[in-house]
Amino acid sequence: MVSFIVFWLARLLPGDYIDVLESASTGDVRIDRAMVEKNLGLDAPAIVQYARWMGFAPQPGGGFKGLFQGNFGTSWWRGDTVAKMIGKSWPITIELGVLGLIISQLIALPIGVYSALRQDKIGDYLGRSFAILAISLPSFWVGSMVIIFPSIWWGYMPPIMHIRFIEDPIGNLKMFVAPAAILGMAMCGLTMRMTRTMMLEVLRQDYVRTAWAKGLRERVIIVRHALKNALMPVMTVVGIQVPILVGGMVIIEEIFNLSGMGRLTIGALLNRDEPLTSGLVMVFSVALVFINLAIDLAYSFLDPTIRYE
Amino acid sequence: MILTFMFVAGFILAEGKPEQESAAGAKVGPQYGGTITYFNSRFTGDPPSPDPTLSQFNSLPFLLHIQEPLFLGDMEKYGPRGSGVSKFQYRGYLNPDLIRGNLVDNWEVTYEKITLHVRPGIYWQGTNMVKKVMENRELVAEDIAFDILEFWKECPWGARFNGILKDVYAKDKYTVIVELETYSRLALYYFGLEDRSMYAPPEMKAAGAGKWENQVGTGPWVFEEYEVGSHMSFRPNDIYWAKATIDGKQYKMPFADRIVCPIIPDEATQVAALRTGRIDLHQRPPAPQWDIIDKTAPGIKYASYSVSVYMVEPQMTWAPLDNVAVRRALMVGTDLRAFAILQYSEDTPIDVWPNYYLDPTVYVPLKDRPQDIQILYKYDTALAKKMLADAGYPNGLEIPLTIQPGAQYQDMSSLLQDQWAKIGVKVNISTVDATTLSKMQYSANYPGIAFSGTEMCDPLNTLLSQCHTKSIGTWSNRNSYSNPKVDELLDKAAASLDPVEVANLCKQAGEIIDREVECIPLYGEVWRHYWWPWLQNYYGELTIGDEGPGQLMAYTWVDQDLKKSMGF
Repeated sequence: MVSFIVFWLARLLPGDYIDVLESASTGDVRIDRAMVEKNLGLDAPAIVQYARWMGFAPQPGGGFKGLFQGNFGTSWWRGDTVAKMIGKSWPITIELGVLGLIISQLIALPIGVYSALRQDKIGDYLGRSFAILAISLPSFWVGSMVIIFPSIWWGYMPPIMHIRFIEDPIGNLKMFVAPAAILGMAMCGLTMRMTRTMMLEVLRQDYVRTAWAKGLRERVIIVRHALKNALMPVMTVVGIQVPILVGGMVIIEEIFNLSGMGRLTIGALLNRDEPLTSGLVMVFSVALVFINLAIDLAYSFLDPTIRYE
Repeated sequence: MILTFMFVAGFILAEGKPEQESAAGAKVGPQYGGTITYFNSRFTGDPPSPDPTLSQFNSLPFLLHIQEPLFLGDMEKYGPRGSGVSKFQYRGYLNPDLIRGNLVDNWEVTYEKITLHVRPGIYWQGTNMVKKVMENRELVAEDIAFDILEFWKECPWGARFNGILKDVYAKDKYTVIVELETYSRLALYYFGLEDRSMYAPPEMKAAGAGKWENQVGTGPWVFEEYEVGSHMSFRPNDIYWAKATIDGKQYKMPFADRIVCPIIPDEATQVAALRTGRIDLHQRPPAPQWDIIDKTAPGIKYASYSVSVYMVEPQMTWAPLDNVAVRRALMVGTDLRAFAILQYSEDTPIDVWPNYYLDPTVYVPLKDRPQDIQILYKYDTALAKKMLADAGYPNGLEIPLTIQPGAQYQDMSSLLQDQWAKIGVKVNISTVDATTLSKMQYSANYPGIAFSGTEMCDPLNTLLSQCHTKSIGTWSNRNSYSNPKVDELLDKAAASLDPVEVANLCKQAGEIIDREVECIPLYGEVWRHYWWPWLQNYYGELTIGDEGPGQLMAYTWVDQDLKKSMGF
């Protein structure tokens, strides 16, 4: 189903790859469209193209090489296989996403808890104001400011060329710290507010009052009793934010020159590179399914009463 | 507070830059070593496949480090280091008087054929930094013939040779014969200098010409690595044949140890990279950034030049823009100077079209043009309204304008809308993405008007591609302009070997085109490119080939002491 929608959606965009080829050239002669269509298999009916892409029909050169055979096809723009291109870019996106997620939770959870504990005091107001600021400031604007102003004031900017982690871990982190922090900040506002709300609710529960009455230390009450119960809905919010994170990564990857899947997707769409677009959307769809599954499974860790059969 | 902490933490992890000292560009002799990192406006995205049969435009600025054309601009003789006749700030067709043989050392042109004499002693560098693709061997005539034929027969743009070429073959080891079906002065340009005229060996095709790691050539550099989304880099070709002549002495080329071409899609990031010295040269930062670069990068150099005209193109198949009187009225109702100021091009004159003001062989200043043409360039809303009324539109009209996203297009469309509102013309603006707009324009029947730019480096080439009936539906003649008299003049010019005759015919055709308002020329587009002074033997040239400064970088070296002294 997803493959069907993905395939046809990519073809609904106005203009096609051959139009992109022509627009990239300022030649005074038209491109031989028939030649390009034949080379790319676009001269076949769309349903045949879909069948070839899925692996149900043979390729013009012979053989079945489609999704069912584990083959995403070849990028029209770059000539590389889609699998290879995704394979090179997904580690960057994963690293950025994971770092962003970690930073957002490291910021949001402590502030959310502190805000709840200091409800209606200065600390709470500051925390909530920070959350509003984090939600309101567009990440693309913050990203641009982080690029522009340090370069003017201090002559500094993050590395513009990719440094592999295995070659230079510190250099690699230098590339990612600023964009991950910006992404994390974009996510942490909502998470912080949800944490604060849920903590306030949990702290009012009878069992927490009992814990206080028993004389347990504040840290034990907060961490072992209250926070764990408050985190369930927070996990849901984090799960909802992951697709938003993916969208935000596209702009951040462009600004900070990270060659992740977001940037690859933009390029694929602008170049009307249908095999690459279809392959990327398929990967994103499957990834989101697995992420949501992981979050659902995490519930059982947080709440022992939940068991999946 | 957290934000501050994160910024500081990030900076602690980063390298800082010591206080910059002011730098005077000390003149020093050639130096070997160092890395040149330069940015070309084509480096905003990953390049497409380098397969020559695809000849994708955006791969060529990378390929030209490895592969070479038959001719190049003779910048040592005519450039700033030589006689100074040309600054080599052009794009597209280069005046043949400024060309030198590169892979060929001489050539003859007749109406029937072109004879190319391959320069002996040039070798294919068969090994790059990744692998050995072929044995090193001498470049021969067969290789040139093979490449031209491959482009003609297998490339989607090869159709441009149909009707021009009859046959191509090697007469002997160093002589290529290109037999002509019909003489065209552009044929030599197409396979000798134009951006797609990069020559690659047949062995590369067998190895897989679509892969970057299989790219080899005769050029000054060899392929080193391509990091997707990040950069492509090159190392010196240790058997490169050409020498640089500096102050009468010959030097082996290239001078630098490495060339890096970063891929940076975001404009702010590009400019920040220039400002912080991460890139040594930036070709064409956007005009709105010039001021801030000047202020925040002390010591940086720049060169300004103008090679193209930006215009409004009325679609001739769309009524009432098919009416010359309407087009003339619209031009009178357009404040051209305001557009030039908007686009930082106020230093260029308004009479930049159809024969460019920088080409004295064809340029006719506005004051020397006929009166009925001169009035077109004088902004007069009252006259424009009267002209519209006389044309049958006393109550004005509505015209659709389709643009692509981008601040430049939004600004210009708003200005045009405002100006034409004063003469009773309502401009309805719609925005589509670049590919959709391109498709509309190539179909040559878009409604109303569109913006476009055209390069003005060769008068005949510009007029042929923009104003000849044969080129309707191609990149330049999107608005379906057609006039049999203009066709006749341009055909005569294309068939002539006499440059004086060609220039006169261009002037005659230009007068008709001007009078008929084939387009409304808004301004001569000014570009700048910026470079740091440690890049030596570079004087702001744009290209000596057809696309980008890649070939120039072989002549350029890095003054590493100067770079250190400037704090980079």
